[in-house]
Amino acid sequence: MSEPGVVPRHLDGNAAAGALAELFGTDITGAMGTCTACGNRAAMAETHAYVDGPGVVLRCHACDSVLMRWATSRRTTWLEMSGLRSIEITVAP
Amino acid sequence: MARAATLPRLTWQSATLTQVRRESSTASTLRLDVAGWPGHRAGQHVDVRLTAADGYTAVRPYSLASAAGSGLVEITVATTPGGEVSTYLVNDAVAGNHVEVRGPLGSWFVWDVSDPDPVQLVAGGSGVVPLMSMLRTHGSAGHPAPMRLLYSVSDPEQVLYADEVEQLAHAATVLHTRHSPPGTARPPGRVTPAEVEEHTLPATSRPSVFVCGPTGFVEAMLTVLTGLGHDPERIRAERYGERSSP
Repeated sequence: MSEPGVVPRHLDGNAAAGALAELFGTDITGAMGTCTACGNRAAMAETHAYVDGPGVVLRCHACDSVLMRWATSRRTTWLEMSGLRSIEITVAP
Repeated sequence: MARAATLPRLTWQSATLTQVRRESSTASTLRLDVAGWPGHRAGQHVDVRLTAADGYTAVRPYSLASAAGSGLVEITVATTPGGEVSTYLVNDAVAGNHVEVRGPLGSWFVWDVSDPDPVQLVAGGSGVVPLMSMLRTHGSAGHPAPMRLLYSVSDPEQVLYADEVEQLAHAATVLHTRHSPPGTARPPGRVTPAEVEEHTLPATSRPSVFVCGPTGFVEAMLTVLTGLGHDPERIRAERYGERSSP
């Protein structure tokens, strides 16, 4: 399926809900994130998720910049999220 | 501390398959018995983890098909070419098998009966699964607002929940991309913008719109729907990808 010039297919951040919950302890797919590069504000579920590699990469759906990336080995999780300026997590009352 | 009850840490739970139903030649619905299942919202999914004898694990997300509030935990799994998890679940899993699940997951691509607005659902292939949860939830609640389904599928044999879709009558439109049923006038092919306009609720009725399917299908439908005047803020999408899982 890897034709020349074909962009790798992505899922939504929604599909990474479980992996995100491992990091944050709760489901944050409804949380609003702001992209450092372009300032776009969107739900984490709306990001583009690339999950076929050894880790997970979430990209801004507006400008394609990397928002978050992380990889987990048996004992360590490496998380880089400088592309995410802020994240607003609202919990149920 | 008071929030501990509303923010339980998501953990892997053991689940027992209690029923496996064949939906098509490439998809099965699996009913799971999960102790302490908290209930789910229509549109949510669970992660399923399989562990091989040598400790190798594989995790995949699968949408819940059962209605919110039904107490049933049912996922419908479609095989993906070379997909080790989906192939096992569709072709080999039998009642009594154990898997691990984590969920329910997702707080964005969800529909609740408290939403009073009309709803337009747009499905491509197995993208109909979370939308069926919405239809079942809507139906069992006797929700007064209209909910319509536009369902693009390759051929009649691949239609999931065929009986239920047929019972939706005029609330559902099934369009075939590769083979049409005998006697239908429409030649098989991709859904056109004119067909989307003809078979969906008008943008002027300001419906909530949910689109789910392969990435290419979703992108195409989003372009068409916004072109028809739907507010992008009212459209929520879920992409299945078309990746062949390793």
